[in-house]
Amino acid sequence: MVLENIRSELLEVADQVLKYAKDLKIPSAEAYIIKNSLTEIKYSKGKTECRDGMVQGVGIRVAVGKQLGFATCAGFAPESLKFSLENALKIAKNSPEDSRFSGFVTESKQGKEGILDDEIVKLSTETLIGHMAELVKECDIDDQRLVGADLEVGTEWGGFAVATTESCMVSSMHTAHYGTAYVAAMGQGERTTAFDFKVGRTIQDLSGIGKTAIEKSFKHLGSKPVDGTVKIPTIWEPLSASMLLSTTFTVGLNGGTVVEKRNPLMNKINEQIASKELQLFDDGTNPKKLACRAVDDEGSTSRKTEIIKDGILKSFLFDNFYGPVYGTGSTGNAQRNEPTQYENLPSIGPNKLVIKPGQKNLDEIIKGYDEAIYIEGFPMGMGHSNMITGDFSVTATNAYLVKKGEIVHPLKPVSIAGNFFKTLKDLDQIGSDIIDLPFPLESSTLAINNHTISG
Amino acid sequence: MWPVKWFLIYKVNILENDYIFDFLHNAVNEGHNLGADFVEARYDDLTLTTINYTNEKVRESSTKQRRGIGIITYINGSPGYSFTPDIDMNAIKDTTRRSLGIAKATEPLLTFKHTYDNQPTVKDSIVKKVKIHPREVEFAEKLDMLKRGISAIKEQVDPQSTTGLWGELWGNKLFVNSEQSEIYWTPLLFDIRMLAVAMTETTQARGSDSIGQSQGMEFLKQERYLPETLGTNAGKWCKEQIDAVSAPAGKHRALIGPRMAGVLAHESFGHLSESDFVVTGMSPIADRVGEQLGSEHATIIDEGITKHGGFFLPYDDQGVKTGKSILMDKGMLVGYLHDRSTANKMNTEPTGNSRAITFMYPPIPRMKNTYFKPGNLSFDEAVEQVGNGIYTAGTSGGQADLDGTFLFKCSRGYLIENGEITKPIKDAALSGQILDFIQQISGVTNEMDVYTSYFGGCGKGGQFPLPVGLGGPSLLVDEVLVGGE
Repeated sequence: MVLENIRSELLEVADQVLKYAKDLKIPSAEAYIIKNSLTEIKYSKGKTECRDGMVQGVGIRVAVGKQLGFATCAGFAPESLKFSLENALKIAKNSPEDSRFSGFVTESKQGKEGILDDEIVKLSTETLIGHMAELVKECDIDDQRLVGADLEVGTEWGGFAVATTESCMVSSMHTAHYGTAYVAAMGQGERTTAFDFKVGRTIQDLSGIGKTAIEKSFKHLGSKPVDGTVKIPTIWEPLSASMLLSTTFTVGLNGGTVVEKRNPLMNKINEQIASKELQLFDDGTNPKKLACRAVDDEGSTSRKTEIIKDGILKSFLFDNFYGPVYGTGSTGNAQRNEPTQYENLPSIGPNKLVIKPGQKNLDEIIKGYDEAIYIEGFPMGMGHSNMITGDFSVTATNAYLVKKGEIVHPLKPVSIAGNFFKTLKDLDQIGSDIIDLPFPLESSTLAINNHTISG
Repeated sequence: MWPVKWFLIYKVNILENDYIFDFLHNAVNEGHNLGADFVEARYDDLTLTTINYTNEKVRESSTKQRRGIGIITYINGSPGYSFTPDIDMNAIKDTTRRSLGIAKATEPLLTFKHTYDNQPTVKDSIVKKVKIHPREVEFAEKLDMLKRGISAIKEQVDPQSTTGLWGELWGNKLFVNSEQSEIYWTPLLFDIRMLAVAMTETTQARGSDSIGQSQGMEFLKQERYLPETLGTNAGKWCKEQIDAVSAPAGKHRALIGPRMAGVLAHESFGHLSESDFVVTGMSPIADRVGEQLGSEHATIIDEGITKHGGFFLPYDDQGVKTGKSILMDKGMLVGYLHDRSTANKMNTEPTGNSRAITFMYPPIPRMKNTYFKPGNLSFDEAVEQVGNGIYTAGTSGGQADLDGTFLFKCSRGYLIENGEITKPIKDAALSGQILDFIQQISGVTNEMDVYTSYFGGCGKGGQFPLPVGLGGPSLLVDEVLVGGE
């Protein structure tokens, strides 16, 4: 009920913007309107930081022929909406033409919504704080190795609408509940960190995440260095594997940079770019996933797109700007960056890239290696890779040495260098253990050959 | 005597500020009526302008208006935050109630009480004075600056792609609290960047130059910061990357340039000094004041308004006047970065580090302008003292963990061989533990470069990008781990 009221409000504001645009004689306009309730509770050693409020705002694009302007405002006050329309118009008139622009979304087919959980909307602040209290209790253990735990629980619910002067009028709603635990441990002068989390579109059972994070951080105490530089296989658990591939695939599959001829994969359509075992698709339609939305951030209907089949590149991702230039149209991949989506222009990004899982679980994969490095958690520096050449060098702070099919001991931070494109071909094994992750890409365990490891 | 026009603008501003101050006082009063012990209310009205000129097309040209009110109420030392973009009495009452609701609900969990010593009322108004304010310069002129920079790139290299970026942020910030303080100040910054990418059959090369400062447009008339100079550097540095050699992997002596020194001071050491991590014991430098953690050459400062440049920050978001906070003095840890409650808890003075990115977020301990203090070495002497190693002149940023481990990418670097800068190297990654790193500093140059940014900035607790300043001189280090081929 509350969500439907918000949807109505969003569509009313959308209608109002289009009416003002007409009054101002604006030839073509697009309005993105968002209303999101956020409740966040953060806790660290008896200290809290809480936020409870409603993010509301409007992003307006105006087109005068092929000249474009963009302006945004917080809130829905009529004078702010008019001010933004006038500003966007002024910028458009002063901008050079972009011959590639072919208009805003005209179709307004409402896609299927993901699961919406009313219990999240109804959840009281007191209940949410009850979830935090349980998490605090879980991390209140009598063990001197535990330095501290940063905990967070929260909810987010609401939605967005997109309207254009070209008769598009669509909306998409969501609900989410989450908890995270980030833990630091210390033993014999050595410090380690680890974390665990749960997130979903429905109410989550958050019990266990504190305990898991603590166990992970203790497990890494007593680490030993890697001497010198070695070239041995690396095994990445689902979390670190997803991180490894998220950034580079997000960049490499961007159809916009293909059109602009600055994408390293631009000439690789229908070519073998990865091991034959790799099947990858982008999916904005799985109702259970956070990434599911009825429409994308320009109003195009969400869909599922095949990206890599048997290691062969089949498609890039497009929005409504670059898709028509490339000749395929949008793939429903227009996105505006969080947390104030209305302040950002749409850009191209995955809904959710999913690697089709293989047969073996993590233990079975580890058993198959005589010597390897096993990597947990977030490798540092992934976002700073050379996206064009594909060269990367990351530091894994939670890595372990594998010998004769067993994890032998934790390792001091190791630097792992390689090349993303080569990594795709050097994929040795894909595991069966895919998990839900709030990242652009979801992978199961991956084993990869030919990375350079330095201690 | 002032011209009539200026007098009127001044008058309108005063009236508008009085009007907003009244709203904020109403929020404080409403909080007290509902049972709050202490209330802080602030109003942000920021305008952000972005121009992204990629491959000689305008990819983005936008104006963003970020206007709203944020309210923190405290009850029995428990804080709650709420916000609204609606500037009307009903919204303000509702927002105050929402903030108090969450403050009350979290109170049973709390063992760290946010208690303050009473402070005297502060009434202050600080307007950053510049000759040419960015808002007075037309869009077309800013776009022209980017075009001039891009032309300069093309004189140096045949680029596969080019990007010119312009960003500006300015506006008004007003603050009121239960102590009846009324503070008004005017944030301002610009950031201009030139980036070039060249591609050969075997490699891709990048070069960039940029400058971000809390200054008027007159700053960009200096030779060093003309768009043409920034473009020439970006093109030249891109070209030399085409034939760059791989960075030698392993441990090396190094000269860390001001830009990367700033990133180390901020990302790696600065975050460990933030008092929220310190009071909870999460920081590896908690309870270590008085310890010699670094070499005698390591002095790290965090300052609100510096003579070296960077971001202009006279007050934080709890109405505390910013000053100069020395974090490390000749290697000895001497202090942390506080908000009012952590300062009270640790029996020291607040340092003006309580900051929020917009009205939608509560202030948390953040940095101001963080930099290494310069030393006596000339640049040439430092290069000679390195002997054999690497020089990191530019960085594309990096990542630091709360345990002190870091990884920073060197976007422009050179080999140093026999005391001389020789060949350019491909993007190397420097990694290590900051507490080991600061012990390795064996010399500091007398150069100084402190800058701020619009594209990028500091991220913490979901609040990104917060404008901060960072920089320093060049640091001579005996050993650092380089990840390369």
